[in-house]
Amino acid sequence: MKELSCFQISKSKIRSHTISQLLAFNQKTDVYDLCLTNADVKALIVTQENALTQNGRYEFGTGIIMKIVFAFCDSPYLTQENYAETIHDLIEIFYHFKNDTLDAIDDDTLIELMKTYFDEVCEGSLELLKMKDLETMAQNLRKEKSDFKTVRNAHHWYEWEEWND
Amino acid sequence: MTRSHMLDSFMQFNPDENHYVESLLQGAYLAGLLSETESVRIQQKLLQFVELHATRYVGGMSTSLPIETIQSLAASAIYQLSFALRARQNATRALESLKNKPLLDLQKEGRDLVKTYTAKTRERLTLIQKSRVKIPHQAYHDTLMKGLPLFFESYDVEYAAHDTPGSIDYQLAVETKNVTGISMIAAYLDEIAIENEFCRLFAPKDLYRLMKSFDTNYEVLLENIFQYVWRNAIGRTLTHQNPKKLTLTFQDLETIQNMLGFLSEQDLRKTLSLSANNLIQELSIPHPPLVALIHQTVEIEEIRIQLALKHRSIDKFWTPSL
Repeated sequence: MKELSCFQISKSKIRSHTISQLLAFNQKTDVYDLCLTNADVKALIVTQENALTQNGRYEFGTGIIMKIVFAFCDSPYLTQENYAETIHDLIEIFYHFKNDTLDAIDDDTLIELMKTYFDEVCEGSLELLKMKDLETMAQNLRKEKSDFKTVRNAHHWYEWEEWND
Repeated sequence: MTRSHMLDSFMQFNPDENHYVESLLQGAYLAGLLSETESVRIQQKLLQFVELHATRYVGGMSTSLPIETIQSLAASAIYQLSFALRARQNATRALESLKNKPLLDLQKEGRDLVKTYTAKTRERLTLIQKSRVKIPHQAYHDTLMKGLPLFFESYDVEYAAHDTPGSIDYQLAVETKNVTGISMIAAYLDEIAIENEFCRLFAPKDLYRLMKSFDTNYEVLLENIFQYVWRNAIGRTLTHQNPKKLTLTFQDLETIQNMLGFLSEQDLRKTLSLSANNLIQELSIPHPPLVALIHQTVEIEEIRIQLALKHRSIDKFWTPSL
């Protein structure tokens, strides 16, 4: 038994739980005219696994995709046409910034922050979300310019720049 | 062979100290005491245990961590388990506990043992600090007075029990291998205490003179004091002089070269072992660990002596007095 070999054990149980949970959640997102198919959900799980590998992370809990879907489903910038694709990107962004913020931000807060920026600052632009707002926030956290609470309260990166000036 | 016989013979099995759990499982599998199914079941049990440990580490605030962090947490948790399993005294009982006891209970037991052992080791350091060899040597004193105390300040029994923080610049004559965490520090202290015991058999002014003869700036070098003292004490014994004094003249070195230079490897070993025995006798050393270290040093230094004799450079091995 080599170090960490036990982590190779199949996570099929967790996968099937995630699939049924997300499919059941379609009932709630119906009011926003959003729906994920079985194939969409499976593809999201593959995206999550790839994002974990790319970012050198190990998932020991469950429910991140569900949490992202739950947080973003009422966004005015989501439509059935961009729904699945946006969730794919958000999953990748989430793990990227878990690393980029050196795990200083817990899962729920990071998702909440992503949602706030996405809706209120970036106006639905994933590019802006990733390249500007979250990046600036992560940089400032890494530089220890301020604690996380201050970063969160600076709603826009321009405001953040002014704040630091 | 019946299962009962297999279990009895497995009692004698000594798992690798540094990879105790892994080695125990491999040994049990090879001894036919663990089926493929049981092996997978224990691995799954270990996985769930490590995941629980990781969840506790993040306080339930995250569901993922960088692989290196998880590996470190796993190593720490397994280190704690190993302490509890080693306390079972034999491999058969350790295996039974690993198979049947909840791992969280075993981990708690192990963590408590690590804490107790850490406290005892800290007390041991205090005693060793008080009985330091009284000659100037920066790395030696810094390691005992600053580097090792730093370990106890930084050591994280909960989540990094396998780590060895702190700073150990002073190298021992026999390297501490295959142990990590508090076990490594305890092993280091055990050995430095024995080295100190040997060095204290000599007057500090003689030790100082010896080290100054080796290098006038020896104080800032990382050289091991015991090694130089051992060499010259053996040199004195070989030349039939009182080993309590550590001085060797160039004439003594010439005598040693003539005495040992033509010996076969086997005869050289015999002569050095005999000389080590004489040294132990003349210095009236009763302490078995010190006796063992003196003999172990013969094995380590033998090859260097052979080379020095071959190249007629024994003044690089034995230190002639200034």
